[in-house]
Amino acid sequence: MDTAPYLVHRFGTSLVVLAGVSVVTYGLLFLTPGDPAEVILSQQLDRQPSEAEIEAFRAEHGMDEPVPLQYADWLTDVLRGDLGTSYYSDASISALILDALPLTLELAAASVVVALALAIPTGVLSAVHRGTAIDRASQLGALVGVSMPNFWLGYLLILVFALTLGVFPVAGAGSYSQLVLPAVTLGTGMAAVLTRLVRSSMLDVLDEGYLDTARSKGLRERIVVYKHALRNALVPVVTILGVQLGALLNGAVVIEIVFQRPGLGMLLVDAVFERNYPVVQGITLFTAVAFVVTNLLVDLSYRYLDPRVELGGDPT
Amino acid sequence: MMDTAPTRRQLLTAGVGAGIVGLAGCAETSLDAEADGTFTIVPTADPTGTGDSWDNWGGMTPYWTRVIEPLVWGTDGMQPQPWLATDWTATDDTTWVFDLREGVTFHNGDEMTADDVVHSFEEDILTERGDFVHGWLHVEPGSVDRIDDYTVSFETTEPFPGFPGTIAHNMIDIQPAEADRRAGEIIGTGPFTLAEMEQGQQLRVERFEDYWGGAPEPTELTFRAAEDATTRTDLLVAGEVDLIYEPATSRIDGLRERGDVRIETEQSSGSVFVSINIHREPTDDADLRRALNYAISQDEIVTTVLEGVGQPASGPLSTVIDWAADEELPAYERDRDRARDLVSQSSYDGEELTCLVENDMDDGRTLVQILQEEYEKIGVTLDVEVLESASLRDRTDRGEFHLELGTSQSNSPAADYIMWENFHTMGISNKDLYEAEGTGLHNLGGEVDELIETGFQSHDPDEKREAYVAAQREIMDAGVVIPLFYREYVVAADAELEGLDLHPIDKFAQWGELTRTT
Amino acid sequence: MSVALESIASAVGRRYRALRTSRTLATFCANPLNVAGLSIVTAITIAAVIGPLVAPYDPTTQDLANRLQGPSLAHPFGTDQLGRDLLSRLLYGARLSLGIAVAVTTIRLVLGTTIGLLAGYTGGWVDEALMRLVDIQLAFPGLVLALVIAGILGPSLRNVMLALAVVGWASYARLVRGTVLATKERDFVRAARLMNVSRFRIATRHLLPNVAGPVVVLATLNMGTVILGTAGLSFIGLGAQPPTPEWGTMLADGRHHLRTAWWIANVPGVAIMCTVLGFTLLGDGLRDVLDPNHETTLEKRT
Repeated sequence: MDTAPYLVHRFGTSLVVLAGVSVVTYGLLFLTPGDPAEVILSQQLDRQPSEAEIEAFRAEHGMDEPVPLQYADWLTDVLRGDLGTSYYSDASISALILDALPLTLELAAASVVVALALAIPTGVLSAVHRGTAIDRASQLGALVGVSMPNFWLGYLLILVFALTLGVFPVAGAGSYSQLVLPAVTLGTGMAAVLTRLVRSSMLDVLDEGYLDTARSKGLRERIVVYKHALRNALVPVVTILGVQLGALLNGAVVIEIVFQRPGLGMLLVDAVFERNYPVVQGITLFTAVAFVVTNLLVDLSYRYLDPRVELGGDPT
Repeated sequence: MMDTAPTRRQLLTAGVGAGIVGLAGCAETSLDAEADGTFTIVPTADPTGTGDSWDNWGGMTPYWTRVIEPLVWGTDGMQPQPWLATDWTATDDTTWVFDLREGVTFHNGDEMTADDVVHSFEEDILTERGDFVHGWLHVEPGSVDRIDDYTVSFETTEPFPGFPGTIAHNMIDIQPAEADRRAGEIIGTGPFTLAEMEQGQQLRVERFEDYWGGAPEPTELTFRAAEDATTRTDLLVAGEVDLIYEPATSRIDGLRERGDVRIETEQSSGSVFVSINIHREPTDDADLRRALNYAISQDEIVTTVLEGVGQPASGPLSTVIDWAADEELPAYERDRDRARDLVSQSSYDGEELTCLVENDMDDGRTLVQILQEEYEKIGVTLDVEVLESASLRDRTDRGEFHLELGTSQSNSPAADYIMWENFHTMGISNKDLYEAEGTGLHNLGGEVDELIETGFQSHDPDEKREAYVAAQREIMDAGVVIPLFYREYVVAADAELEGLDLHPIDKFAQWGELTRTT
Repeated sequence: MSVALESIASAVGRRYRALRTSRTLATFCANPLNVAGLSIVTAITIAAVIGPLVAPYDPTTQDLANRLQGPSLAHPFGTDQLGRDLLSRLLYGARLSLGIAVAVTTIRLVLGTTIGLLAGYTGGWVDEALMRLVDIQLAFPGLVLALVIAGILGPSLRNVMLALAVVGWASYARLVRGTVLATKERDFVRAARLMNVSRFRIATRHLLPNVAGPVVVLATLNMGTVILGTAGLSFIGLGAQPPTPEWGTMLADGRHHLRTAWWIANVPGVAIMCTVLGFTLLGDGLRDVLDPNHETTLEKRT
């Protein structure tokens, strides 16, 4: 398929998906049991609002208009970059998200490093010793981490490394040492998927002919394996990181609570519990948009990373 | 509301800037600053005040930090104590005149005068905080006046002898007009000045050399956020912090055994009880409510799941409050046979009673399951709902529950409002439903309302006590609440720490004498 | 619906017969990890079925005098903060936790398979529209959306299940559609179409059995993620209400005692870990057997 029509189609569907995402996000508000205006107002006033107050609130916030119109208003603001303001402070939601984002990104990046550090050696080991006990032990090892509820893993790591051995801090954010335990907790979960991927793409590459050529040139087997095979095997690993963004955010919610890191996940949980709907909508929309855009970029960069890939195939 | 706020562009740039600083700030910071005079303290709530706007005073929780101060403080015996005001008198039934302390310096170097007091009350407290303050302080906007540079008068909406004790509250603080608290600029009079704040993480304050009470010992205090009791305990055990409030209950015994930790307990102004919705079937039946009281053993709860922290209660008010009744109240020793008899006499017919509890109440899940088990034994089925604060409030506002497990605590020496807000028909718990449907939640009405009014408006301590005790007796006779325990709070600290000055109101602790023995 | 079930049953039956006679069983058993997975899942399933019958105590009866007791003969896994027998709670919880996972997975499966079948078989704008719907669901990080939905609906087990169900169907739809597209053009389907067999019949008799393999694999792998998702939401405070012995809630409650009474958190923790591991290993094993082309991937965990 030619590049230009593919790009048009890809951008087009992404736009459709983004529109759908915005509808779902806006629709979340209507899941609340009861009348949103009443719920919000009683939160703000800290008492049961009167009928007149509810009416006034609806009028003030355009909630007396038909729902599609309310949605259109909201979407217009969002497209202008205005996600609204929090119910409980005058802080703009964009500012709240941007303040919390660095901590979450930092955690995500560090977890990817941890995951790769665990997955590459394990996956390579597994592939090179395909079908042996070493292979199975590596696979099993990789799966144990992902099978543990990550808050439990987090508390166990605190118990061992912060309280018993005293090598890392218990909780908090701001220093590299405080990043280690949360990153290990989150990275361990992701390592299983990556290990599997490294293993299978290593196997694919190992089966390819040109390695024989490399071997026949007399290079030592190890160098062949690591240098040639690994480089080719890592292409799909890099591209799957985009898809893994969602998994990272899922994990971050719980891990930020465990380690007292005021990032995006903690902001979301607080907002959900306070019924701070604009903040909930803002974060949900932000994460979904980030996911769609990241994957669009990953798709596009795929072509440049691996020229063998033909564009237009189903991404799965 | 928004006209003083910065534009979105400014906020966005500020956000991005903060983000970069945040990333760049990843450098190692010393975890346990051993330098003398600096201490790290972990209170129970986030000191940077995320969340509930009630606790958020310009981005800083007003409690614990001793940056801002009110006119009146409280003694350990829960009596009003001169602070930024040196004296006060009621010149008639509804007028209070306060003499201000001279020579009090704000953190910006200016001297505090009557203008600042008028400004703080009129603008910040009565206007910006919203209507609920008017009912709480019994003062409305436009009734605070400057008499001279060091004298201010307050006009209350009705006779209110408890006024000085009520304004002895961390949130009723004095700041100059220049302080823009919305922008996070806080100018107080306290022994510490706000130095740095990292939202959701920590807040650092520094010694204020010109403090009117003399400069404090510590040079610097850091208040860290850790709302989870286990995390707080871990932080202390790992040596990352010097002092924590309320370690996890399960860890207290272990901490007591450690040589490097000292544990202090202090009876608090709070008590934990189950309040019953007396306007909903079948808990509108006093026999059933009494049965629920007879089913519980307060002693057993305190000695088991609370690990001995707290005192078994027979009334709804902490006994540090001087008119709290305890022994004068009808005793409900656990007596399951009697409870069963009362249940069968009552209109209870096997239906599920709903019991609400807030999800972040310490030991709430455990306590509520004990209630569930005990009531099972007398043939009453309890359906437990652990809810987050918003859902909980939603349900209580509508009166859609039978029982609610909670804590009632006074954050100022005048605890009158616990009686008023919970049990008077026009109190905050009952008023809305009373006005809408003629009901309420915990209001017996009639004589109890009159007794509460008498207590509330009496200048005579004996008369006040007599009225309030009589009201509490009626409340307990009718089984409106199931008292569980008077709270004690625990502070765990590095054993080297000296000069702790705790207070029945945990948020009134003073850090001025804090030192380290080496 | 009954036609569909029947055809799935017959397909599974066929596969089972084929399994016995062919090398498939040998393939499955060749990898000890597959056997381990099958054994764990079997054990947990048995526990879930007979657990309440063999549990030594009532799972909610408290005994405050014997709280926080370590493992002993009377209480093999110790007692919790209210003196309840942990083994009994674990056994009762097996039924509950497995039940949640089965229920959520079933909803996901039915919803996703229906949409995938419809999209793949109908094609055209219906396909396009349904696949965009799939993209929209996949754009939200699963646990984040589930947290928001469950949080807004209020904390209860039912809402947690609902939330987890609506955030996990899309991968089935995508998988089924892919398989259907591949199968649709195969000779036997073309023949049926030429013989004027109804569309519904083609879909249920010919297409569904072919997607069954990959779907079963995905569902098996999904069981683990649902159990982890439930545990995560319980930790956040949206899970089961007390005194329900749900594993995630038990683990979340027990964490305050991790240092003083390790068994309260670690017993349900290990139970969850083994169950998830078992389903993942079994799913991997089944994939080797039922889905040799490796069409199922589980890169997006919820």
